[in-house]
Amino acid sequence: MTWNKETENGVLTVYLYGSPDSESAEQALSEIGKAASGAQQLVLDLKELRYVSSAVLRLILKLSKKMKKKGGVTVSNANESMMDVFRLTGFTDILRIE
Amino acid sequence: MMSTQTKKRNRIVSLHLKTVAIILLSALILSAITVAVSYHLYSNTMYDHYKSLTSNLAKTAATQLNAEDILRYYEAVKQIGTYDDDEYWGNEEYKKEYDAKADAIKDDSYYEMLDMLFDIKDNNDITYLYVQKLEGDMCTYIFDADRADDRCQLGTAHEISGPVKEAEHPENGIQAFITNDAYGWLCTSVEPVRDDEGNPVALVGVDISMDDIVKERTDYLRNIIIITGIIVAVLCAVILTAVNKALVKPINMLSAATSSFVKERSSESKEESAISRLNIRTGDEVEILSDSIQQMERDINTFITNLTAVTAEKERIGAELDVATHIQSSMLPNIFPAFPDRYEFDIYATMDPAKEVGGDFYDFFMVDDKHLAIVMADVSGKGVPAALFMVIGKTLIKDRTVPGVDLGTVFMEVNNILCESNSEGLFITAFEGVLDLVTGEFRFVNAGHEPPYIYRAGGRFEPYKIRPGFVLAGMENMRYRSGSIMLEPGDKIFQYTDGVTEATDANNNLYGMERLEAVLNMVSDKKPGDILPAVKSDIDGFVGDAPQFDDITMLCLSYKHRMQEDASDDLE
Repeated sequence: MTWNKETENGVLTVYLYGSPDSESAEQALSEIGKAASGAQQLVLDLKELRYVSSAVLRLILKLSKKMKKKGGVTVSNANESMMDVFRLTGFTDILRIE
Repeated sequence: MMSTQTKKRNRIVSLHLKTVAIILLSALILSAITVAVSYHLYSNTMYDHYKSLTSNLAKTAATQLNAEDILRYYEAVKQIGTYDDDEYWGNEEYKKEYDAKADAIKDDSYYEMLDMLFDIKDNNDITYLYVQKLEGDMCTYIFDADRADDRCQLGTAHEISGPVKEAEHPENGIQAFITNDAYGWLCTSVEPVRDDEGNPVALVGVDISMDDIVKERTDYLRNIIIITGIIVAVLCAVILTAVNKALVKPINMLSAATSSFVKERSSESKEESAISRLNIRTGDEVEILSDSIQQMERDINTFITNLTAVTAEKERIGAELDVATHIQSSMLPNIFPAFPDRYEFDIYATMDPAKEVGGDFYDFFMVDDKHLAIVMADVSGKGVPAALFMVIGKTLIKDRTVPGVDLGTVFMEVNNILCESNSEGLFITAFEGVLDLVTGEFRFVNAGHEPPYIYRAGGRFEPYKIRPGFVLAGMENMRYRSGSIMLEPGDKIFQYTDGVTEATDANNNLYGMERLEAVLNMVSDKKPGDILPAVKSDIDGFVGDAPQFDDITMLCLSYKHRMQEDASDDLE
């Protein structure tokens, strides 16, 4: 899995690409986590991500905890099956969906 | 060990032996050829020398002779007629008579020339020296410089033969030739005596014995063999020493060093290895070989060290996985039938672990004698951390599920405790349900887990949509709301983890909920102990040879009969 970061007006948008695995999720967490501490809002764009695995859920969870004071994590461009996962796991309760 | 050493010694000798043998053999062949060639050349030179010597002597003699006198003698001797050989040598009287006639012809001039011929003969080691006159097929002796009794008297005549006969113009002389017959091994030259006009008048024959050659040649051969022998011996010794030093000895050192490599490694001595102590500086490929071997030893050592580390790491990981698998399988209740004395329900559950250990678990237990709890859960992540987290989760849920407490509260408490000790960031999706065996009420709570399939007697298995709720150990202070449904005897509940619906075949197709629903409804009337194997074998058929990525965990509860209130009073 790879990712791209973009900052505009204090909003950090991270685009996720490819298939997630635990290793790349670890790296993403440390990199995005560091970048997110300076941002006002964190948006995860899931358009090019192939699917949401438990590694991605853990990543989102940890980022959510980091961003708890800043309104949590926003998820954008999630497809139907990704939304199913979020609904099923109750992540819809803690995420903002765009 | 001993036999390897003896073999080693034999190998050392034989390389050395080979070089010695080859060098000596080459030297021998070379010297043999040299000796043979030079001997042959020497012989030919000798022959040529003798031939020219003989020719020159004949020519010298020829120039000293007086052609006219010779003719005169010849005419005179013709007068007296040539003699009969047998008579001459057989009959004393005949001989005396003839000799007298012949001697009468000889004048002072004759004896002068004869003396001159003797001079030449004596001073030049000539065997035979004679002068003959050729006429037709006959040649007649004029002079024979021979002091022996059987000398040819003036007038001796015989038919020409041999080279003289074969020659076209014998009167002009014959090139020197060598014969070996009754007269001995001779080199003969025949040169003409010419008159003032240059016409050939008579022939001078010089025969030189070749016998001396034999001795000279033998001497030559002996000398050249000795000289060649000495030179070759010295050369061989030098070459052998050089080859030994430059080739055999370094190679033997290499051989010994590499042989001891294995022994040194297994003895784990801290000393420098034999290979690294090599110091071969021959300035050629042998030195390159030695350097390469030293480099190779370093590379091998590095490789072995890395390999040992990698292997140790693999073994550690393998051991870790074994621990995790053991934790998983030993924790879950797996004795069936689980409650043989309870006729009110039937329950069956299985967990098939994947290759890489996951954290799926199920649980079931009597909360009290009227209430049965079932749990189905899935820990995110793999390996020992997930397995340990599973143990904690399972224990907490069972511990908190006590009679009278709301399941939403159970999950809330469990969630908060899990969040405290969750540095790995794992979370658990979980479903818990408690069936009241008397009333048939089934209360449940869900934390991000799949909804169960419920079978109504006379109907079919269908997914039962329930409120999802957030996962356990995700965030503190989450609230969980429990739900409830009334079950009738004959109803069944089927729970599972996503290892079932997300089982993949070789083309990355998922098993999915439709297939699950279909197979459940094919065996919906069977008991749980038969339903689960049917589902499992359907999954296996779908997946085929593709590897199993996630644990496949299933549980089926069948509510058979209402529990009788008064019976429970007895159990109290």
